[in-house]
Amino acid sequence: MTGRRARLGSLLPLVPVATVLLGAVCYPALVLAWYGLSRDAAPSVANLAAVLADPDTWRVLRNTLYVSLWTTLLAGALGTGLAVLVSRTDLPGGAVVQGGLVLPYLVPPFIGAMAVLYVLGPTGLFNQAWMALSGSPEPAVAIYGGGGIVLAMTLYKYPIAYLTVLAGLERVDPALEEAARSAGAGPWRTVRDVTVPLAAPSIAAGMTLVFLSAMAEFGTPAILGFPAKYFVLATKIYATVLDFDRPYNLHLAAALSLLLVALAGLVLALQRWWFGERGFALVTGPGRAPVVPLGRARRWAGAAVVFFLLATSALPLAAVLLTALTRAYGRPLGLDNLGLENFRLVLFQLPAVWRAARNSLVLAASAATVCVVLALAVAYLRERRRLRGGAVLETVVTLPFAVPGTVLALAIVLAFLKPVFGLRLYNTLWIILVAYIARFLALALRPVAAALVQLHPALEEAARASGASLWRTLADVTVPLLRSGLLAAWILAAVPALTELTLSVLLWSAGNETIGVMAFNLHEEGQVLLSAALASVIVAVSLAGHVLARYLGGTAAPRET
Amino acid sequence: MIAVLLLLLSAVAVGPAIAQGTVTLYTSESQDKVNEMKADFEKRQPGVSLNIYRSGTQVVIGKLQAELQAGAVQADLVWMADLDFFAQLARKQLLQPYAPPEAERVPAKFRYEGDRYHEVRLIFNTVGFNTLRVKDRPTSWKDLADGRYKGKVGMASPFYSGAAFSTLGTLVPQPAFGWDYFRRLKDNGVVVEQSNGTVAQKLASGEFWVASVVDFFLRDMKAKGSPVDHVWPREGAILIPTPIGIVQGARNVAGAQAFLRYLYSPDGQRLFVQQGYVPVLPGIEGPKGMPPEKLDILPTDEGYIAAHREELKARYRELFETK
Repeated sequence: MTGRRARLGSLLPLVPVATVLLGAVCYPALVLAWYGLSRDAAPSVANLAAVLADPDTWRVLRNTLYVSLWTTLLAGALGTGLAVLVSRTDLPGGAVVQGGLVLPYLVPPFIGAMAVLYVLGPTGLFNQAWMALSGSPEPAVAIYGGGGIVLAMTLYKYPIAYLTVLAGLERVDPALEEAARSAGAGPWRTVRDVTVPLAAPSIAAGMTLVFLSAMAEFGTPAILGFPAKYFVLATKIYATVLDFDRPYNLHLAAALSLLLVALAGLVLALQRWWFGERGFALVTGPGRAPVVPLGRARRWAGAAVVFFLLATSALPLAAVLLTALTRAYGRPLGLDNLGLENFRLVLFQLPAVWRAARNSLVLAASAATVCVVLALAVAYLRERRRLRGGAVLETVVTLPFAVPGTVLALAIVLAFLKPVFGLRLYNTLWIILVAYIARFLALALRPVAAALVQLHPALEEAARASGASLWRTLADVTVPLLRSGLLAAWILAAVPALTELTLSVLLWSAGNETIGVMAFNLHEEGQVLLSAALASVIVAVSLAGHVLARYLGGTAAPRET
Repeated sequence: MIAVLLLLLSAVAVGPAIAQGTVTLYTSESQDKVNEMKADFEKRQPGVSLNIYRSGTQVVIGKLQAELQAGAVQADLVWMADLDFFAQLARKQLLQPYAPPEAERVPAKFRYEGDRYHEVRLIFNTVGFNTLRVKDRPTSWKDLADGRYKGKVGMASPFYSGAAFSTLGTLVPQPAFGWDYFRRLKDNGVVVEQSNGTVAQKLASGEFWVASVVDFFLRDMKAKGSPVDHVWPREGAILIPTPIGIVQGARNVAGAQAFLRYLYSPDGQRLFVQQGYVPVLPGIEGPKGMPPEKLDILPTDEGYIAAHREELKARYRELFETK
């Protein structure tokens, strides 16, 4: 009797998880599938047939794969290399360099794309300098199109791989590396043959995240692709949704979306198949890994990393600021052409900006909180209760993150266009919250699940054996031990939510705009100076938020030494 | 941390409540301009506040159509660059007639379907150029297809911009232009941007040398010091209808009417002029740098556009979006 009640009690976390996943993921997915597979309220494969017969679809699919694969490869290599450098060598620079390496993650991707545009665009700083020096009327670098998108995505997505691998490396038990060292292996051999293989699951996880993020991204291909008519699936679906004069455009967009869901599913299945079965329960507690001395290369390595940071982070952001300070667009740079006018306009003449900022804050904080709680419940059910169907659960959680946000937004629009159970979400802020929770749960789940996997159940079992209830165990043992993982998850979900664009660009309504939508709309409208000013403010705020989060995190979870 | 969360959650509880006296406007008007208008209007009409949903014409229409299907239209007022869409709305009895007193003085051709929707100021699509890059000014629409500007020509996309769609629909049925004109533009390496604002900015930056672009952007930017200007094409400019109308069943009819009255008032009209627009009310002096005394206009056949909407877009897509 008591055993049964305990069993039921231990499944209690399933209730909120099931509610959210059914409402925010399964139901919209079904509506989307129905749209894709029906016409005039009758089942039909006409949409799929039309989409598959269109050569444009295949070109767009090829573009999507090209962009995502190259980004994954480059960002994965960059992220892994930097993570090994930072965590396993005596690279100089310490916290400054480490902070700098995460910087691009805090820049919303579409703002990153705008920044790249200001540097490498047809009339960006680089090409202007080139044209002035060479006298050529043609820019030297063509940034619009696939190559430019890969470049921008790599620069702003490598932190995803870097952070994931770094977290993985910090969890690798140093005893193993010490053992290798004492058995006579050199430092590099140890890194190559012990550290990296041990970190392989996190490298794979990081690269999968990069791939999914690249495939899902809307902002960068919108900003760098539209001018070259270079579409990826995410932007194609967006364009199809807007192309309302085309008969059955929503059905066609839904059919395109199904295609994309299949693709994302395939990638996830591959990753799980490849790495899913290899368990690495390694960590007993945090410890210092042996440091590989870089020797004479130390200074050069440090200089290279600093140069990398300057060229890829500082310069583009400086270009955004410079553009924001420009008075008359198109006039040469100069002191007489600089001023704060654009900031004044954006901050004091556009009341929507403040409202949008408040909306984004509310959305990010609530979405991140809900996501962390749900992620803990999901991870717990899967890892500790060994819930049957755990794989299904993970698929459902990952799906909204794996598909382009455009697809998720389309599904949610179609699902909640009309009130559901009397609940009107459409044209409110809460429809965006629903989308954010669905979207960012996967981001929160990874660190929480990873932390839980590496936390040996022995501690919890000991608590249970000593008579602590499930909730007591969770509250006194599991959560405190996981707090840095939970905080990481919160930040990981809140940061992208704060400056999110892809979902809100299809879900916003009058009074319910997000700050990302504001900046993107200004850019789309051609208000380069105003959007640059707003982008500068957004970047400054997200940096400040990150510093604050680190400060709060630092006091809430002092680092054990 | 918890305190911050609580604070944020209390903000959630307060939520984005709709204040009394709020008028919701769906528009494709330029963000900064319509906000200037909002500020001026709210100053003169205390107690009413304007809530703006602003995007490209086609995006706004998509949003409205979704809301119409769901039977929950949020807008009190709609204002954008697609005359045919307004005609459809009026046919479906989705707009209510209203004529402010000043509107009586506005030429009848700018008031449609028994004052269900009307022009409040005029914008034209013209040929713009960068004054630093272009020494010999273009004079005609045909110059955009001229080899001396190859690869440096910009225009907006009819899939986003209502003005671009109007332009397409005006030029295609003209015997002197037709699809052939757009094919020649394509051969000349024309770059299609989403919005006219983007086209204007890229014209200023020198990325484009010449462009098909809406006039007020260029007048406004020129006034601020950017190296742009526009010419009134020999064949005539294209009038871009951008009507405004009150939605049938609007929640705040009185507020919506007040905004319309403001737009037609001499104050509203003068603000338009300051922003670079051509006023619609007789007796208000137009903006500086407005080209001819007599505005040559290339006639637009709205009937043709209404009948060929899908075909225009489909053929355009085929021409410009498939490689």
